[in-house]
Amino acid sequence: MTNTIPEEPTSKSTLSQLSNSEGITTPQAQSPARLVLRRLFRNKLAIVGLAIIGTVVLTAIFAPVLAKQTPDKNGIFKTYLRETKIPPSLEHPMGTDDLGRDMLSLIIYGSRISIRIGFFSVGLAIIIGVILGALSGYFGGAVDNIIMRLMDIMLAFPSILLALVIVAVIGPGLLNAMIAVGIVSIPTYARITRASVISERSREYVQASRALGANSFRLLMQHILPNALSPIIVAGSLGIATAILDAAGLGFLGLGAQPPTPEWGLLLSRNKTHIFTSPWMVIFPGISIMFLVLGFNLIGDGLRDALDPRLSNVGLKAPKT
Amino acid sequence: MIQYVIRRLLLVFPVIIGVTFLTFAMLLATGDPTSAMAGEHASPALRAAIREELGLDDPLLVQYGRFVWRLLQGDLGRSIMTRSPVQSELKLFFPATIELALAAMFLAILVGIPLGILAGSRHNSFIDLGTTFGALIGVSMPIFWLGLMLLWLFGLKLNWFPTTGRIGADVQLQTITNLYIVDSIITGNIPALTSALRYITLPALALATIPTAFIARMTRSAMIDILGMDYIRTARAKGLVERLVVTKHAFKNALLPVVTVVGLQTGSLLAGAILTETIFAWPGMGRWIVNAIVARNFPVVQIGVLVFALIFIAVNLLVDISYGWLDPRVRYD
Repeated sequence: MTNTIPEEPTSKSTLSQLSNSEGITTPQAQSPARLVLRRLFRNKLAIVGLAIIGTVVLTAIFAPVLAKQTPDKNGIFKTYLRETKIPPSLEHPMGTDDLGRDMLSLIIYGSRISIRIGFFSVGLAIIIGVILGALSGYFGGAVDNIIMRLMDIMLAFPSILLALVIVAVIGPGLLNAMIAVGIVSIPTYARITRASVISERSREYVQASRALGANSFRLLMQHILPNALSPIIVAGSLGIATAILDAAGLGFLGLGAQPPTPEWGLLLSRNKTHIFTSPWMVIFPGISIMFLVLGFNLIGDGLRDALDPRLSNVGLKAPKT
Repeated sequence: MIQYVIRRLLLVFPVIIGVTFLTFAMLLATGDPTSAMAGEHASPALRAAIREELGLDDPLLVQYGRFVWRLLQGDLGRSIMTRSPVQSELKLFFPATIELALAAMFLAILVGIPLGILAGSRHNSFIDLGTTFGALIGVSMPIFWLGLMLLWLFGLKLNWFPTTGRIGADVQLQTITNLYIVDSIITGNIPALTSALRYITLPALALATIPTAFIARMTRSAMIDILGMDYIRTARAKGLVERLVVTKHAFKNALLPVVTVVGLQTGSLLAGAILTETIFAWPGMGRWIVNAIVARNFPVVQIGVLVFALIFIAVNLLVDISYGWLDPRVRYD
């Protein structure tokens, strides 16, 4: 191939010529992104996942309109000591807590925190993970060795334990918990990126582009990293689910969000002593966490099937028994 | 095979060194240890004496070497809270966590694999959809919430199981391994066995949920994958009973990804143990570490985290080795 480097290897037409000359045909008549979206929307479970996430995001945005009770400037909800521990009713669909606060309002405001936790932690992990993975895969050698051994060491800890340790060192709190949960999932994205970079690095089109004088940064950003995008998106949406669960776990242990934040894990933790007298105080925060996490899991699974149809078709080939 | 095992073992060493270094460095990152030992208002002279005694002014690598040397000699330091050696506390809490994790893994395999086989061999049937959906719910549930719900329903409302602790206070048990179920079987102590089993049920159920979901999912997809292969068609064509096709021909080959997921789930078991033990007041390492973190009792955190990580590494190593045993191709990578 090296003796027939086309003049404009970056343009699509020459690219397809390039693959055609090798006898590889790519049956892509329309843009891959649209194809993926179409496959995604054909998946009923993925639609359910999208609907769940959409509901929670809208709830978070319109919290002041939806919630019956709203917090003051400092995020503190008023207490109504004559209306404590009211079971779920029309007035309070999720009941009230031991301070007379409307559980539904607390949970509505809590959705803002969980959404933020999910996107912030995973965003942080993706940014750092992709940079490390790209460096590792592109430069190889000692850089690769150092970075990947570091990732191995991080993977040697169960994730929430490592997050606990990080929080123990940098101190408890919502932001620190988000950072800790983010740091813990860096190795996932670093590994995915590294694998894609290594597999693309030696391809002809990359070499052609390099021969034309593209620098390392341009090669990585324009040619190599886009190929890592789909596995990262899949891992990211499943990662948001894990991040929300882990951060809620930290909140539950008292090491994440601090009172008076209505973070769901923290709500569960502070209400757990009332479980016998007023179980709704514990049931609803838990269901909320499960609902949102389920949404991200569904969309993650759907995306994986849409981006890699081989996986979803496997089952269809099996004969009925 | 032996060569493969040795190669895998050698790969583990850098990770172990890194893990010990990280736990060592953690203690340095948490602030001046002289304040923790002598109080915030200690005189500079006292601080200097402590630093001298602990060798805190030595180069980092020397300190690290001393830390590892101490560990190798079995000296794990002292708890700041109880002043007792970390080692004796570890001996108490370690078996409790192992017992809980083994019980949960036993449940998860017992339920997850048959469910996965059923779902996979009856693709798109009612049981398949039920398993798939159940598994999705299972991995989306916060384990601490599930624990609380089990505690509320079966512990408080129905009063079927005790809610906190490991064994009834009125039960006499001679401890040998400190795994209460094993000990009571060895000594033939039936009352202790029933008590221990009753106490472990709820925490083990809570802890087993996530691994059950993952194992069922993985078994299902591996079965579907393999049942579509040509050699299965051959087996069916030669008139083999479907039951034997599924159990003998397909499942054996589906085992590889299942073993992997069982191994990987051990990590989630350890992580889950941290939350489960807190809810059920199970006197294990998870609760021990959490309490130590809250109290900033770092010698305990350090050793607890190190032990957790070492178990995790050991399990992953075992998974890799069993991989090489199950699939000879892996050995020649």
